[in-house]
Amino acid sequence: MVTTVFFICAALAIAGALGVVSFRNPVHSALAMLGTMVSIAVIYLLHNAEFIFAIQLMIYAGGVMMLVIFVIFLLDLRREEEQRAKLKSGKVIAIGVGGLVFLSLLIPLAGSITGKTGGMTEKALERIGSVEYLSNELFTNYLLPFELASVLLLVGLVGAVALAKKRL
Amino acid sequence: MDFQLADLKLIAPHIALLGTALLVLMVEVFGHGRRRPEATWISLLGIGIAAAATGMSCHENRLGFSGMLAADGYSAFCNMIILIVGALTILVSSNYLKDERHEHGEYHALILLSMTGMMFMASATHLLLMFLALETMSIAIYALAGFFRTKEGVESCFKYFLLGAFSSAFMLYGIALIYGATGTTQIHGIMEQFTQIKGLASSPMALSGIALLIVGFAFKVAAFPFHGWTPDVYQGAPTSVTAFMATGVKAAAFAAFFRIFFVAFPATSPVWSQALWLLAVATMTMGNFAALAQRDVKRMLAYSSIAHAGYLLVGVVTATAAAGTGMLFYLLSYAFMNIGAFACVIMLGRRGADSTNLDDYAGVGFKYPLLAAALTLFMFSMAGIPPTAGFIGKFLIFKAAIGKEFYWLAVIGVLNSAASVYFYLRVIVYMYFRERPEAAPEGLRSGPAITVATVVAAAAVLILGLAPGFVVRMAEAAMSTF
Repeated sequence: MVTTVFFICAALAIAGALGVVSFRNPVHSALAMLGTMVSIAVIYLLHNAEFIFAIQLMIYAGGVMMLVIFVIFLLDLRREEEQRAKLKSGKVIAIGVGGLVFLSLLIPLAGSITGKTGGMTEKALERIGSVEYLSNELFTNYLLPFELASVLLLVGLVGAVALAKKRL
Repeated sequence: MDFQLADLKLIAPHIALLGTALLVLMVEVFGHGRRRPEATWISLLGIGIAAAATGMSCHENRLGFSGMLAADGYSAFCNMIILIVGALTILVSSNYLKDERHEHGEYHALILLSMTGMMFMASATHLLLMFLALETMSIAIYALAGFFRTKEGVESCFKYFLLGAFSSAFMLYGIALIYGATGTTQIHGIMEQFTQIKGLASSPMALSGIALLIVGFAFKVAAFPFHGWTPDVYQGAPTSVTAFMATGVKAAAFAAFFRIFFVAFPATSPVWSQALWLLAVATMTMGNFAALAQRDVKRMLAYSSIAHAGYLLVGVVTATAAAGTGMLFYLLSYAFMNIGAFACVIMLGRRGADSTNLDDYAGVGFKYPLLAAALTLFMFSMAGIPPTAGFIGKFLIFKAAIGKEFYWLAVIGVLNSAASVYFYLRVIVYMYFRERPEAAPEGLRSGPAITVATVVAAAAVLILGLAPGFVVRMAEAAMSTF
């Protein structure tokens, strides 16, 4: 049952990702992206990560997608729609190299995995609770990256203002 | 392990810089509408405090924040390089910003925030922290590259941003694969897993992760074949930002690159050192030969920066303590000679017209003898001619490579530096042996701050070249703390 749902969601996620790059209408691309994000959220849920599932839905499917659609409506993208993509030799080479990189990245996933299995099994998670575990890690072991992430957001904010404001 | 208050001491330099950046932003908000020269002095003061804090925390020699970052001699040395780069950049920018009418506190704040990211990169012992620090550094620099909002500047900003985001994704995927293979992202933990689990060193998952990590770093240090963005970005960005990018980003990225590969992946070193061997040779050869054809000094310096990344990669390939010493020394001397050279380029420019074509340098030697002498010194140092800092740096790195029996690498490196002499000397030839055209603009874009920066850089290049012993011993001490 779980495996079936997983494969359905994985297929939907990949189909959505392909849709993002192949649709000519930007709004259709955005909707395809929404499909990918929701399918990935379901995959998180299958792995007992309820908190990440909720965050994925709220932040990505909710917030980020709204922003993307706003931007699409603000910009006039009709010209992009009319242009037809031509297949030039440079593009063919790029597709070839990209495909080769993609295939070689599949090797580690297909081969026997010699790595470690994590300690967070379903039973352990049921005992601790996924939100409790995550917040405990975030505010003890991962305190410094957590704080640095806020500095990163500040940098993004200052940088965006510096680039976009009419007169500083 | 829980958070301890004592750990704050390890990040005192970072906090000092971050606090200064916030202060500069606040001053900008409340001093609305006036031209504010204070930002320069506040920033310099903050950098001074961070330097003092680095000096105090360098003897701690321990990991903090649950193994997230190390305050050892190595991070202290790298912090000092980054602080010197930042201080020189701010000095160089002072007159430049005023002349270009872009004297905004945000510029200084972004430089300081970017430096904070760089310092976290140099001291991170955890791939996650390293990645966040790298992004902090990069995003600030993307914004700085487009700060003047000229057509070239915006193009450079956008190109750097898109390609940088792309390379970050590669690096992140690499980190994920390494985590999948080893179950940890702490670099000492990764090293332990490699020694404990047999066969992990040949697992495709771990090796792909390492390969993707190399891609990410190679992009940041502008190594072949991930260098394509460099010429356009360096040429389009404001000259002071170019100097900052070429030296600061390189220092931080190489510091993290070396620490991660030296500590976490010694078990797989036969594999990655071969890949990096090729990368190093291709990078220096491509950089030098492309620089031969350039007639624009800024673009020539961009290609020369690629070549220098190649020499520094020799240090990572060798991956011994001696190579680390050479790399640290080289990064320090590169900071002085490169920012010095860009300072001269700024002084010869005009508002809205950088005048970086070689023809603009004709006859400068007799018109402005001191400036020409300084630029000559920096060019000699970049070419690696004794008695300058650049020579000692190259000597230390190539000696380390020979010590680990990378003979061909050292030979190719030396041949490359011989070839590079041509385009560095060409600038000098133009300055001293060409007539200055009648229509050449009068006056220099000079001022006290940029003069101080140039004199300091020139003095440092000479001192590091004539009496390198003290700094080399410091770099050796820094390497011994791993």
